[in-house]
Amino acid sequence: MFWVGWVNSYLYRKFLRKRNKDWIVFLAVISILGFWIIDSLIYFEIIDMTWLNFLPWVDIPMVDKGKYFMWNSFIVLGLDFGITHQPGMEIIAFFLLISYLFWYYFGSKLGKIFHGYRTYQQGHYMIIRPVKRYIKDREKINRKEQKE
Amino acid sequence: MSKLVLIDGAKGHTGTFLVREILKTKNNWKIIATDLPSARRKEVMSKETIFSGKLKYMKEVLQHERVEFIPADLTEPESLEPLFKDKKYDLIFHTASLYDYFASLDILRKINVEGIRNLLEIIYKSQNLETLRFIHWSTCGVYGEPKYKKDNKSYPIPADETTPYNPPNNYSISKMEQEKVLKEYCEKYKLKTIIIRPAPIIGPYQHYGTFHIFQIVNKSGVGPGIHIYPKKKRLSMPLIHVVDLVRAATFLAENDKAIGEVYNIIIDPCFQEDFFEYVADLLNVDYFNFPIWWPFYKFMSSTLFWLAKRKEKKARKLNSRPPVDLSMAGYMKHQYLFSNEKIKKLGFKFKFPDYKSTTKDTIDWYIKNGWLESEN
Repeated sequence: MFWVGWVNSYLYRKFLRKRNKDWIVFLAVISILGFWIIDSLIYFEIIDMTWLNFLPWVDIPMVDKGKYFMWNSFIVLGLDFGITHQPGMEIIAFFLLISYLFWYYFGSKLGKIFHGYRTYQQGHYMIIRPVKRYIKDREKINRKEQKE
Repeated sequence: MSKLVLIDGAKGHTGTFLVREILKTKNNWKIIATDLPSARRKEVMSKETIFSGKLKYMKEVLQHERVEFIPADLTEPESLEPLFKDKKYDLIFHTASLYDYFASLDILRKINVEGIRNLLEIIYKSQNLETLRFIHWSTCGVYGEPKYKKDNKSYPIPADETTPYNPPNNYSISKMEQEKVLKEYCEKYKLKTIIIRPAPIIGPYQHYGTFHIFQIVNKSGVGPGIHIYPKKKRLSMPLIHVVDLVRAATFLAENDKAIGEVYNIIIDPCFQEDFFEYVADLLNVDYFNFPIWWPFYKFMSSTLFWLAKRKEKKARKLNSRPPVDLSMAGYMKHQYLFSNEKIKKLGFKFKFPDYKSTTKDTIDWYIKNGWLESEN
């Protein structure tokens, strides 16, 4: 969710803000709701993730397959922690789902600092931006101003 | 009393403001304005052609009936002759200088140091030194980062005009040498001089130096809310509004007590953290508080300075200029805290005495005239 927030903040600044400033809210709602819905569907085994078993390093068991996948999502990257579902873990799962809000906010906030927020801003990326790009920008602006 | 006044560098930022100030407040002063011919100016002032295509100083003031414009080049003594032929000046405001942190020391010396030598030479030969007053524009940069006296709580006390030279960059070195040349002529020929040392200038039409700070904050979208601890290490932000600078110059020019003296022209001391918070507020960008211990800040600012150095090197390779000249980045690392008590004691009252009035007037102008981007 952190990276979704980060990328969304970039998309918003670059493409969406000039169309509608409320896109920042739409993006957040769409992303968080989307993840909540998909994660819940996997958890309750409505979406079956055992299709990932075709990968040689993935072995999702058939019992509690949704819960197993959700607790051990890093299995896709080859990291299987082998956490099995125990009674009462639903509460932890609930809080983890709620924490998506925080991670999204954190990512979008840092993204905003890094990419900027308004259409003309570049964020702190400016500090590491290649000099060549500055020169090009400057030439473009100067040409435009001289025409005016 | 009517006066004949010479202003060199009259097409520059301070020069145009000085002409306007005199036209506004001194009804019987006649101005001879001079600057480089346009083509030569474009060639020398690369910061003007590279950093901004706008470059619209208030050159219309030079078309006023009380102003006569004669182009001249300080580096070519013969071009100065028409300025002094059959003219006896009461006041000469020497604002002309190459103010460019990116320029090499050779070119700075040629224009700033040799330029003043050529000017003083022709003044000595053609003018009445008994009546003439020469107001010279220097910079607070000639002090560099002085060794500050401390108060009883170990806070630094603003440095006054007696602080020894310690210029940190090529531009300031050339200004120090310029002052030395002037002092040499002053002693030799008893020329009545007043030296003013302004802090970094801000104000409408200003597009080099502090303008870059506003542009960076505006473009980055976040005001750097760095709070240095312990508080006695907080860095100050030296500034002066261009209007106050030219007011101070005309004030000193008419004051007998100012002859032979040096004056810092700077607003009351302010801290960088307060300044940036206010800038962020005016530009309507986010501001976050980031407390930091002084040694960590030193390390962080040195890293950024090193990055700026790399960018400058790269830009030189590409035959262009970096986004921010290296010496400007030096403000992150050093304490530049200077006193304006001397000019205040003489009776001068600042129109923009603090960082708030100075900054607000400038940023409002930038936004209104589209020099700083905004979505409104």
